[in-house]
Amino acid sequence: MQEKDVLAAAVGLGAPWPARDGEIAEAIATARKTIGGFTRPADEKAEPLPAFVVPAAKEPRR
Amino acid sequence: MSVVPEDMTLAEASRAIARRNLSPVELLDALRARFEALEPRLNTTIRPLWDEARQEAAKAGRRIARSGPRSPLDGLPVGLKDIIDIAGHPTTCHSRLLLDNHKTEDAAVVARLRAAGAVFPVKLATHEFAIGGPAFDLPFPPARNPWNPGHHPGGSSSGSGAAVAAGILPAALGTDTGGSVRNPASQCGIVGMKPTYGVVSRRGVFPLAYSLDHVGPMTRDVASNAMLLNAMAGHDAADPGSVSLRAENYARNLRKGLKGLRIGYVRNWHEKDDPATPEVAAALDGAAKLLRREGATLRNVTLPPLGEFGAVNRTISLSEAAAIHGRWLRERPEGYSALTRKRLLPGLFIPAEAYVQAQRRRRELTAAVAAALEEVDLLLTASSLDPACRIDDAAAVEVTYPRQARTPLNVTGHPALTLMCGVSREGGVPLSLQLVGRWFEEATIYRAAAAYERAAPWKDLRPPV
Repeated sequence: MQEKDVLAAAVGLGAPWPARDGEIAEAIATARKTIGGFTRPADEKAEPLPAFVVPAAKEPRR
Repeated sequence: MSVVPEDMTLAEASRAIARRNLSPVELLDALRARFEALEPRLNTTIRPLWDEARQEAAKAGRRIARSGPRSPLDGLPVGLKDIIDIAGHPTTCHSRLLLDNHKTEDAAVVARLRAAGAVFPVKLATHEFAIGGPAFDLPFPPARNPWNPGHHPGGSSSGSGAAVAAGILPAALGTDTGGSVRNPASQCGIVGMKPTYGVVSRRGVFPLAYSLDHVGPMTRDVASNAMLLNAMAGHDAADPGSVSLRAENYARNLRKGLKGLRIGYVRNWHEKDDPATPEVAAALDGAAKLLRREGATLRNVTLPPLGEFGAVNRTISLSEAAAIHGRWLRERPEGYSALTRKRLLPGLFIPAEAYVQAQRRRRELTAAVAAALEEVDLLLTASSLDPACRIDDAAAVEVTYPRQARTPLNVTGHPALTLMCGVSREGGVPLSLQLVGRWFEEATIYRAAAAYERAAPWKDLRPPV
């Protein structure tokens, strides 16, 4: 079993997907490229931004 | 009347109706005639609702005759991207998966506009689920650019951009997760605003990525855009991202001019990180010169690399989108267009750790932009790094679509507006700039945009359709 098959099974891509090997391989490559595209945060114990971040409201300056 | 109704901006039509020089029905009928003439070439619309809108326009006309307009939007038509719910009709998201997705309630933003008297004549084309791209294997064709129907109108709010630019509508709503209001606004030469995260409720709007999604106004001029945002903004306790603010008049500084405004020109994004085409770069330099000539103080500002913002945006948006589309992707992959599947599938392969790291990095990038905006009042940046390419050139779409400087402001939540700053020699399509403000300072962006619009030669240019 190839790595892409293992990964596809791990994320639940089952019966409707066997004829789409190329799509799965491309998606895995895109995911890897995407998450490698930003610098690791300076502090890897810092609180991440919450899912719903709302900037603090303040009086407009002008 | 000096301008025919279908050529009026939203603000001009509002004034004409208030003065009883134009009725809402006359306006709607003129727009419908333009729609019927142009739609076969532009494919802006998924669901026409002209008859229903005409009934509402007639009611508004009687109301206005009796007691004057209920608001500046009374009787005025606004188009809706078809991921935004309107009671009594399906929200298809331009997808065969949701052809029967019948809705019984208005989205919160539609309810606000309806209460202000607006009418809704069309549900507009989008990229499938606001992510795909121009696809030809869907139940509805992709919208086309009215400046050159062989070209892409941008997306994902593609029908909104094309319909407003073509004069089919004076205004439309779009949504923006990685630039999807500002991209079609840029490529179609109109004004598109992504407000501060939380200013406009997203309840009743099909989500793409919860922490990045915004709803924004799209119009032909700056004053109309501010007028429409006035009616759209407001707290909604049922949207967890909504902000409670005092009512704001976003149009209050439109005549104030540029004198005293400090603008930071972000050149590293389009000169170094991902170089724009020479004519896009020249148009931006020209805009910077004009802003200075009109009284603003300009200085160069360097922000973290554009690619950092893009990767953080994509990691977060793909992860959140996978949590929405996962079941359909696993069970009904054939329900999507090939292009949408290609866009969404990587989200299933992003580890949870990467999502959290992206949210950590997001905090750092947000702090960098906020710090820059402590030193200046606004940022001037590129929007698209290329003019719109041909819509049937899939390879060109793939290359140019991600080359843009809009995603950073979805990552940070800052308000950002795009407007026209030139015309490309290639294809005759518009070029655009972007103005970015501090959180909740949309009025300052509108102030500068209105001053630029008055001084620049682009405002009265119209697509040749």
